[in-house]
Amino acid sequence: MTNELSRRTALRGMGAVLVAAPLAGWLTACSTTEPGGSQAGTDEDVLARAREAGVLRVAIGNEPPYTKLETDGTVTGAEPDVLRAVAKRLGIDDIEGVQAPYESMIPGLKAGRWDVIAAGLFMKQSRCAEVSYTEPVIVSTESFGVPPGNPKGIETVQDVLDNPELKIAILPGGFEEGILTTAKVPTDQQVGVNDGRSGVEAVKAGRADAFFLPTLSLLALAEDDSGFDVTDVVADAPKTGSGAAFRTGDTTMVEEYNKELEAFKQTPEFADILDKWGFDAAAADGVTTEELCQNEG
Amino acid sequence: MIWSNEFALEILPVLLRGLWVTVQLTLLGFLISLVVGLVVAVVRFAKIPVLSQLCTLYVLFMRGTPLLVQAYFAFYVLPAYGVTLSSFATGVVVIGLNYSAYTAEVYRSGIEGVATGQWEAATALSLPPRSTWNRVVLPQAVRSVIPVLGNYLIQMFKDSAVLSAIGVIDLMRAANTLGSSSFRYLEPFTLAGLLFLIISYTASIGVKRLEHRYAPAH
Amino acid sequence: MSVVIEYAPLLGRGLLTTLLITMLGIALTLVVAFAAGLARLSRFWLLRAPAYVFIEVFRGTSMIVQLFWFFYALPFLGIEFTPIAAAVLVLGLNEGAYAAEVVRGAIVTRPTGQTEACIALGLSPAQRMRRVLLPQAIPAMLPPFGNVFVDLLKATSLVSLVTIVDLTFTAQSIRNETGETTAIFTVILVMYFILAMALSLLTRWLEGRFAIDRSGRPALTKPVIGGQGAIPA
Repeated sequence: MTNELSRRTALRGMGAVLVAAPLAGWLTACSTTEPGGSQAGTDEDVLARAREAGVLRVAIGNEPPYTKLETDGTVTGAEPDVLRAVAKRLGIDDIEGVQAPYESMIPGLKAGRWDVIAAGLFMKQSRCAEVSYTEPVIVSTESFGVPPGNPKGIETVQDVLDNPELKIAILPGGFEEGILTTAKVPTDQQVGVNDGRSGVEAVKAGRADAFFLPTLSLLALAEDDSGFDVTDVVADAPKTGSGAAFRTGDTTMVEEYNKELEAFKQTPEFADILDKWGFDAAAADGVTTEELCQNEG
Repeated sequence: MIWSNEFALEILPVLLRGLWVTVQLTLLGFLISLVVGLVVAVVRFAKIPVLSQLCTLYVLFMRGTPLLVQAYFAFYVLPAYGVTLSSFATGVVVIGLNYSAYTAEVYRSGIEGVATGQWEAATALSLPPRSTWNRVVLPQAVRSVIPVLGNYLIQMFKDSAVLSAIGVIDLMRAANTLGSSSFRYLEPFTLAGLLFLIISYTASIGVKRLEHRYAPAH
Repeated sequence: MSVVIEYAPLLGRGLLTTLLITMLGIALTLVVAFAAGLARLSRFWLLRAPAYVFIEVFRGTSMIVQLFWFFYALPFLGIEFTPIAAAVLVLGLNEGAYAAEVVRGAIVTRPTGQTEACIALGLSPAQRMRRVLLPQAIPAMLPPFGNVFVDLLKATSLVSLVTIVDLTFTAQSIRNETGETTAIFTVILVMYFILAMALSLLTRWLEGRFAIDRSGRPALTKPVIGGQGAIPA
C-alpha cells in the first residue's frame, strides 16, 4: 500500500511539473515576445513588423456599413476595405479584424492588442489627444432610431435636453455618448447598450425612447427590421468623420499611410468602395484631421 | 506619474455611488435567493412526484451555466415574450435565482443534518407536517447553516459585478466608464478592487464570528 | 434555428477557445492551489504570510474586476500579456486561491493520529507531508475541486467582456448579426450545461481512481491491524 501511494504521489508530482513547466515558459515567453510591443515601441516596429508578418491587426466594431465581420472571419465595411487597399500599397498583404467595444479600442491600441483602429471611430478632441488619426476617409451624420411614427418627436439633441423623461440608448464610449455628455444631458437619461442590435431592441422593448447612432448605421439596422424608424439628420449634432488611427508613437507609419491614402483617393477604386457601402466619396475632400479633431468631447 | 492621487480622489465619489448600487443589488438578490432556495429545498426533500425532479433539474441547470449567460438570456430574450424589466430589476432577479440553486443545496444539507430523532418525536406527538417543518425542523436546519449562507452573501457581492454587462450602473460599470472617458484605467480599477476587498474581507471576518456563535453543539 | 446551424463553425471556434482557456486554467489552478495551500501550512512565516495575503486578495476581489485590471490597468505599469495568457492567469490565480483553501482544509482535517505516528516513526516533516498526509488528503480534495473546475468553466464566459472570442462572445456576435437572440442564447446555455456535466462526471471518475480504498467503504473507518493503512501492520 505504501508503495502504491508513493508511486501515485510521484506520478502526480511529475504530472504537475510537466504541466507547470511548459505553461510557465509559455506564459513568460508570451509577455516578452508580445507582438504588440509597449506604448513606447519605436515607429519602425509597426510598419516593418506588419510588412514582415504580412498582416495588420485592426480593431473594428462590427457596425455596418462602417465595419462588418463576415461569418468566415474576414472583415469588411467602408473603413476596413479602404485600409486593406492602402495596406496593400504599403506592402502589407492583408488585415486581420478584432471585434472590440468602442470604449476599449483606444486602450487596446495602446496596449498593443491591435495595430490600428479603422472602425468609424469618429474624431474628437479627447480621442485625437490619445491616438494619431490619419486623414479622414468618411464623413458622417447622426440620427435617432425611434419607434414607428416617432411618437415622442425626438429630432434634435435639444429635444432630449428639453424633456428629462426621455431615455436615449447609446453605445458606451461611442461618439454619441460624447455628444450627449458635452451637451450636458444628465447620465440618467443615457442608457448604455452593448451593440447595434441591443440598441434597436431597447427601443422596441421600451427601455429607451430613441437610439442615437450614425444615420447610415441606423439605416443598415433598419434593413432587417421594420419595427423602427430613422429620423432625419440631427441638426445640432456636430458633423464628424473618421480615418484609420495609429498609436502616437508610430509616426513613420502615419506619414507613409497618409501618402498612400492620398494617392489612393485619386483612384476610382476609392470611390467604388465608398459607394458600395453608401458613403459619399467626395464628402471627405478638403476636410482635414486637424479640423475634425476640434470636435468637442 | 503613473498613479495620480488627485484623479483617484476625484473619482472616488462616483465609485462610491456605484458601490451603493452594488450593495442594493446584492441585498435584494440575496433575499430572493434565501426565499426561493428554501422553497426549492423543501420541495426536493418532500419528494413530490414531478415537482421535486423539476427542482433538481433547476438546481443543476442554474449551477451548471454561467451567470453572465443567464443574465444575457433574461435581459435580451424575455422582452421578446413581453416581459421587460430594467437592468437593475433583471440583475436582481437573475442573481437571486442563480444563487437560489446554491442556497437550496445549503438548506438541503441543513435539513439532512437535523437528527432523525426530531422527525420521530414530531410524528410521535402527532404534529401536522406544517408544524413539523415550521416549528421543529426548519428552525434547526436554518440555524446550522447561517454561516455558510453568510459566505454565499459575500460571494454574491463579488459576483454582482458581472451584471454590469447588462447595463447595471454598479461599481464595476462606474469604474469602466470612468476609465474609458478619461483613458486612465489604473486608478478606477485599482480603487474598485480595493473597495471590493475591504468590504468582503470585513464581511468574511463577520461570518467567521457567526460560525462561532452558531456552531452546532457537539 | 437554421440560423444557428449556419453559424455552427463560428460557434465551434468559440467553443474551442473556451475549452482551451478552461484546460489551461485548470492546470494553473492546480499548481497554484498546491503551492499556496502547502505554503499556508509551512513552519516558516515567510512562506505563510505571502500565501495568506495572496489567497485573501484573490478571493476577496471580484474575478471580473481582476480581469479588467489585468487587461486595462496593467499596461499602464508596463506589463502586457497576450489576451489568452492574461485570461488564463487571472482564472488560474483566482480559482487557485479558492482551491488552496480546499487543499489546506483537506490536509488539516487528516486525523492527528497520522501526524503522531509519523513523528513516532521519525519521519521528517517533508516526508510526512509527501508520503502520508497528502496521499490521504487528495481523495478528500477531489469533490470540492470538482466544484472549482466547474466554476472555472463558467468563469471563462467573463473573458468575452475583454474581447476574447470565446463561446459567449461568439454568441453575442452572431446575435448582433442575425437578431436570433432566443435561439443562440438557448444553444450556448445548453452547451455550457453539457460541458459542466462532463467536468463533474470526470471529477467523479477521478474520485473513484484516487480512492485509497477501492471497496467503496470510507477509508478512515478501516481497521489498522491487518488492514492496509499507511503504516504496514
